[in-house]
Amino acid sequence: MNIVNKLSLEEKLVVLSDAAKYDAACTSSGVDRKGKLGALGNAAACGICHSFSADGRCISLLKILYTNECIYDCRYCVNRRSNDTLRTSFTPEEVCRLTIEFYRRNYIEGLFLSSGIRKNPTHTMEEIYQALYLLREVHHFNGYIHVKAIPGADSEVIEKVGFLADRMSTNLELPTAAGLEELAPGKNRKVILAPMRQIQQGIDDEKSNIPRIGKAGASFVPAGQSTQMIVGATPESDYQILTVAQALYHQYDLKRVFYSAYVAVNDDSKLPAVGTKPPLLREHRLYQADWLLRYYGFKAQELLTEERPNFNVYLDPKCEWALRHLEYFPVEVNRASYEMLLRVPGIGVKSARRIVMARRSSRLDFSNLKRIGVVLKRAHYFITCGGKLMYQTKLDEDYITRRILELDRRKNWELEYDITFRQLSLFDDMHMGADSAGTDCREETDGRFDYLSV
Amino acid sequence: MEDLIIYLCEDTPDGIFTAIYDAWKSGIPEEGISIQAERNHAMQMFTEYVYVQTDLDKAVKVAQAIENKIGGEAYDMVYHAALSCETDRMDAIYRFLKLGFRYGRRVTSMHGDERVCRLFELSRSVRNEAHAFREFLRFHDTGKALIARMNPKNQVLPLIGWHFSDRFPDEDFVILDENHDMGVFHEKGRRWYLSFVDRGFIEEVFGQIQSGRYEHLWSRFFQTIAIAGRENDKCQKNMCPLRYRKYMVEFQKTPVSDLVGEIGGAIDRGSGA
Ligand code: SF4
Repeated sequence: MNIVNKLSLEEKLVVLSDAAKYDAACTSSGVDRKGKLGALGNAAACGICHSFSADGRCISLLKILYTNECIYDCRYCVNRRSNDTLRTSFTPEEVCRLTIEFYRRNYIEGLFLSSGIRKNPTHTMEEIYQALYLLREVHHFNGYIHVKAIPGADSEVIEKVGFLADRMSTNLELPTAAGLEELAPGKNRKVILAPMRQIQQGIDDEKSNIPRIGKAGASFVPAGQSTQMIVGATPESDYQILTVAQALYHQYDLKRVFYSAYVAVNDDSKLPAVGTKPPLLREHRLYQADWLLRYYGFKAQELLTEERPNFNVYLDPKCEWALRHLEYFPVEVNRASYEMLLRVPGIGVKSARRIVMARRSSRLDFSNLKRIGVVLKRAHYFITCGGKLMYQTKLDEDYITRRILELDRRKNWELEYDITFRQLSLFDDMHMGADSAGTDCREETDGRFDYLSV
Repeated sequence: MEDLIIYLCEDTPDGIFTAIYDAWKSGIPEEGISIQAERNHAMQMFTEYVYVQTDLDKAVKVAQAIENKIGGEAYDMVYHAALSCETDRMDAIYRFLKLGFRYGRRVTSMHGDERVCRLFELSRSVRNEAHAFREFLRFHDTGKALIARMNPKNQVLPLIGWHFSDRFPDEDFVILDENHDMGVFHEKGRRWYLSFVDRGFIEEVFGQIQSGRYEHLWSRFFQTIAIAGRENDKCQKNMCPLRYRKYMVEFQKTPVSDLVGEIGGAIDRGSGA
């Protein structure tokens, strides 16, 4: 390995942020923390973006690797041992200084620290701990911190880190154990799941007030944990991926699962050829389906089955579901239950709530629905107001499918060719997390994320 | 046409609330009344003018009445709308309140009513702008204090002041609004306050500020984090409109060489552990 230690801070920053930039998880959301005297910073549950890069993605955190050295040789990763790239590492002091100085200037909400594995997992985790210790205990940094839990690190050091971080993530990387074995020699499912289980246990213990070794008053991973799966490097189906995600939400109590369309960078016989287009549209459908699992009361098994294991990438999953269940439609907006309203294409969580509120004071017609924010172009096939459809249309699967495909054609094209939309789907934390009405998140209020109300 | 009575008031929430108090007490029907800002008002013919003297007691009475009869949520919206730059803001508030005092808390769920919609719109655009400045405001470290300037359309400075004093309780900082000639001043460990400032003062302060090491490092980070070949100018402009970029360091034009190229790290995809 080509390890260089004499780089300037600027050079290290360039190398180690460049190496981190493909990581999907960059939201600063999930924890609300007031500022306090003697400390620097606070945290907003809805998350705050501080800039938008040339590719249109939100920049919220100082997203860097601690080191890009690595003892492993995962085939899908550019930091794999066998790649001949320039290697370098920060020191804990450097990470701390950059975070604090950027934060004071309002460039960032906090730090997102990931890492390759130097020497061994525990050693790497220790160094990350040192950086966090400096930030939290020495400089009283009170902003947001997200760190990777390094699989295989001692449980003690993971626990120590958990008391200093807001969110921790352990990347599952590949949806099935077989896929992992194939592409990540030296890693296995058990080793990855161990820290995930440990962190969940830690969060649970805290909820049930079991005394812990941590500092009095410190809370354990308050913004919860997340994970990331690579999509398209191995042949798993959407159904397999989504069932894994569902299990992670239920059994490990994860806050978020991120999906990352595989970017073919390494020449490897076991992987798609270099230059293969990343499956962005598929990734987007998975995010939408994930959203349906978390906020719309859907189960993976309702959306897909073993016989029909993949989404139609040209339809959003909620539409696809509705079209296959026309027997439930049309529903009468003035009477339908909240749960049923949520299942109507074109009605999102916010508009469903508003409908339920507004219909208490008056009977709703289509113009009311429009004001409320319902996307009528999409919804009108599936609803009636006072027993009437908006237009004379047929409730016919083929017919509606064709009309909706026309509506979405341009958007689908953009999705397929445009990474920006991947990032947009990550905004759902902001869009949704702030359940309190009237938060001032831009994303929550200005309807720019309308397409998310699938 | 009936004659119109226009109440001219100071352009602050207190001024607006006082005007609402006076207009309400006058008993004149809503159609015959308009409330407008005294500053920059172009006088009209066939109009009777009433000059409103800002009165804190009256303003507080109105504020309390809103809180008690229509609720805290409505109060927040009215307050935000009062900070708006739209000329119909005061009339919109007045109409909304008339409705609110009639229907009580229920008014905030009357999404079908135009008066309610307009107030929501005004308050939303103020909150959106405040939020944008929470995101995009940039501080410089002068060695003595952190200092930032902004160019908002609406009077969002008070909202910004709350945010940063909670975030930086231990810092001395100043935020200057060059469009409304106002500033937020915060001293370590103390409460912040709002004050009018002189335009010349703002220019003088910023004339002396130079970009330092961390401004440079941040710009480098900003360039590096973008994925090459995926440029999307439209989306970037949509999310971060040009008018906010005026004082954002990463958008200032300082030529920086391609360091990644220089040190030979052709790095494509990192994944980290
Ligand atoms: S352990 Fe992480 S950094 Fe190392 S090769 Fe595997 S994915 Fe890359």
